Amino acid sequence: MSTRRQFIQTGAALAALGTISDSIASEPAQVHISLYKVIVDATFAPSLAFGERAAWLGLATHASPSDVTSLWYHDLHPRWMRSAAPIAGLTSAESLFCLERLAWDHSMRVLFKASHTALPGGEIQHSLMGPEPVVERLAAGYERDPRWASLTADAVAQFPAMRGRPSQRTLRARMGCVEARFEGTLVSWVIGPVVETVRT
Amino acid sequence: MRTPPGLAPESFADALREFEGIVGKNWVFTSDEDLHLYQDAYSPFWGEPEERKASAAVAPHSTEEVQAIMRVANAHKIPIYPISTGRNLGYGGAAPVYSGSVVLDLKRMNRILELNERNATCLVEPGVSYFDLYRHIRANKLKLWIDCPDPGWGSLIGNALERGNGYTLAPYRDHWGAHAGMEVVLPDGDLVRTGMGAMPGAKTWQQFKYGYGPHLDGLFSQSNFGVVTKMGFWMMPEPEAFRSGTVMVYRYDDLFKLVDILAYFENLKVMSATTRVESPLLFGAFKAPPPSPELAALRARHPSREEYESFAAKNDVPYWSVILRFYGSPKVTAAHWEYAQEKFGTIAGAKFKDGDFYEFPLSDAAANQIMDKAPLGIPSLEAFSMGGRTPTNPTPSNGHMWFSPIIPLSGEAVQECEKVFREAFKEWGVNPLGLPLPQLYHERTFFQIYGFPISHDAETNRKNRETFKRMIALAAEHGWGEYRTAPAFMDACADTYSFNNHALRRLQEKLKDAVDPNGILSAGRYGIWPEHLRKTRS
Repeated sequence: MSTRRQFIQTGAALAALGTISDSIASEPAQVHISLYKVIVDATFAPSLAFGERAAWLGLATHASPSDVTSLWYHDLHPRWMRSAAPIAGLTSAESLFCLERLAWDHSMRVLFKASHTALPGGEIQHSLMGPEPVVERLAAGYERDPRWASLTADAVAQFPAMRGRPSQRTLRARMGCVEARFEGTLVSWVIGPVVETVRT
Repeated sequence: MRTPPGLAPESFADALREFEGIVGKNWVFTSDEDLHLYQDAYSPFWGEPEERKASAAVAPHSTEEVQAIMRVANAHKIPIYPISTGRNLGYGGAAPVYSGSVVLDLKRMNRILELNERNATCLVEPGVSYFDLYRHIRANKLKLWIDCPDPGWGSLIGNALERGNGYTLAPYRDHWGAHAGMEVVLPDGDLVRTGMGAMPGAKTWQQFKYGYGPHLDGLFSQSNFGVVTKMGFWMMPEPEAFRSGTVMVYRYDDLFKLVDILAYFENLKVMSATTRVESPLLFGAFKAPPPSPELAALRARHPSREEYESFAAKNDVPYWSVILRFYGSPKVTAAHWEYAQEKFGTIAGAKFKDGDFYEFPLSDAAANQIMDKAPLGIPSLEAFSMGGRTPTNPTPSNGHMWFSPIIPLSGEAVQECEKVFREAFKEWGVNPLGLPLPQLYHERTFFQIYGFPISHDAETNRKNRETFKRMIALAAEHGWGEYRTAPAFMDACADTYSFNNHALRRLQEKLKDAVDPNGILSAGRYGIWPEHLRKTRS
């Protein structure tokens, strides 16, 4: 098992090799995480919309039921035993609960999480936590465009590799037509290794 | 940096440096982000000052490192709280009972040291999960089964020490009962092996449980007398076949004979798998679809027993049902099911339904398709999705705490327990989660299970904690005791085991003072506090 600090050191090593230039490192959003899989729960229409957009963006998507046993046992665990591999998803909170804890054992954390709660009257409340550029860009997108699931897919596809300043936002917006078909709360998220912006 | 209660920051810093010297800097955790992982995800004190938190965590890789850590902890009087994989959800998770303790995270000690197919035994370290052992068995095509709880991501050792249960046959489903031999680091760093393990070079450590002289193993379960670093288990040989069937009876009073025959089969070991008495009429069955509109309307009227029985007969909805599970050859399982139908058939009007039938080994694809995995020794995480957000349950809770008193294995006990708590809930104005139905987990007893959701609202949690404690006291008044509980209720439960002015606790405290004079190990676990904290215990 590798440690969180080894991942921190990985970030430093990349910089040392020149993969990340000083100017780019100051704008972390320009170096993106390489997602191993995007997880979709076909039970929920917004999750399907998220997955379709992710697939269109060229990301490998995986449809999983709310029970993530098979996904983890047959796919993620063997992959993560080799090395940490970031994943993203739009699922139930229970699926994330399991995947987050399983990821801890492989030195990964939830790097971004947004709760999407359907409200009466065709509104949706988004509560976002994550790197400031991602949160700000998504919040602005949610306010102007009702296709929130697709926008979220865009954001995770360009998720910054280096951890920036954390931020939180809560806002209300209109639902899109596809996204109108859901009740309660769903979560979108990115799980990956912790890579600090601090250089060593 | 957080500091354990009563400890000078400089002394704690010195201890942390010494821990780093033992395990390496990468495996001592003090940041808030890292320590967040050791909080109880199902804490009934969510966000309140009483929530249990670790001051640091240290993750050794070997027994020798555990011994060295305990010696340092003793020298600095650092409270230590060992966890295996930290997934004891509903019973405290990875959080220490005594807030401010340093969590001793044994997850890196995850080696399967021995797997003996011929004798069906294993020897493992605390970080080995049910999934790990299952994967190893599958990869090596061994004809062995694990017995796992649901969910199956926890540690074999952790679950056994908590006296958790699984779903296969009686010798294996009692995880503590299935253990054979332990290696334990004592609070002073000394190393002990129990059973035949006490004899150097013994050939039967995992086969003969008792060794010679007093059998001390029980001291290390639900306690704080040592850190278990290795443990052996008896395993179930892969059977040729599995068969299940459901017994259905239609009158309230059939409960008594139903349970008597069930107990007979359990004690004969004709049917010794975990099961539960269900009531499709009153509550619906486990994993069953929602009731028909007619049944839902009937339940809403709170009708008399006679009205229920009339509906049961007319609509073929059983008052009570039990799923029986048989393991063996196809012929033996068929004979046992036939025998069961003969015996349960003495209940007037009893009906029977054939269930699943599998022959082994199963391919990965076939195992994946099975709906009810735990009775086949297949670990899963399905339990989380069952309580999860679905179109019919859009606002699931944030975890739960279970109240599960042990009651006698009889219809009369089920009836009395149901009545006592139903009336209490009415008087108290509370409505717990779940189905108040008896579960046959431990041999020769039922436990009745009631759940409370964990909320992020402190007032709701406070009320549920209060109700939980009232239930502990009420159960004890009737002779029913908890078999396991969360840290928030360990003292309250221990208080009910009070024969002869708490003689058991006084003995436990004498042992604690002798084995752990500095009181550094798992203070407060299962109500056993070290001397210096006894007066101030919660």
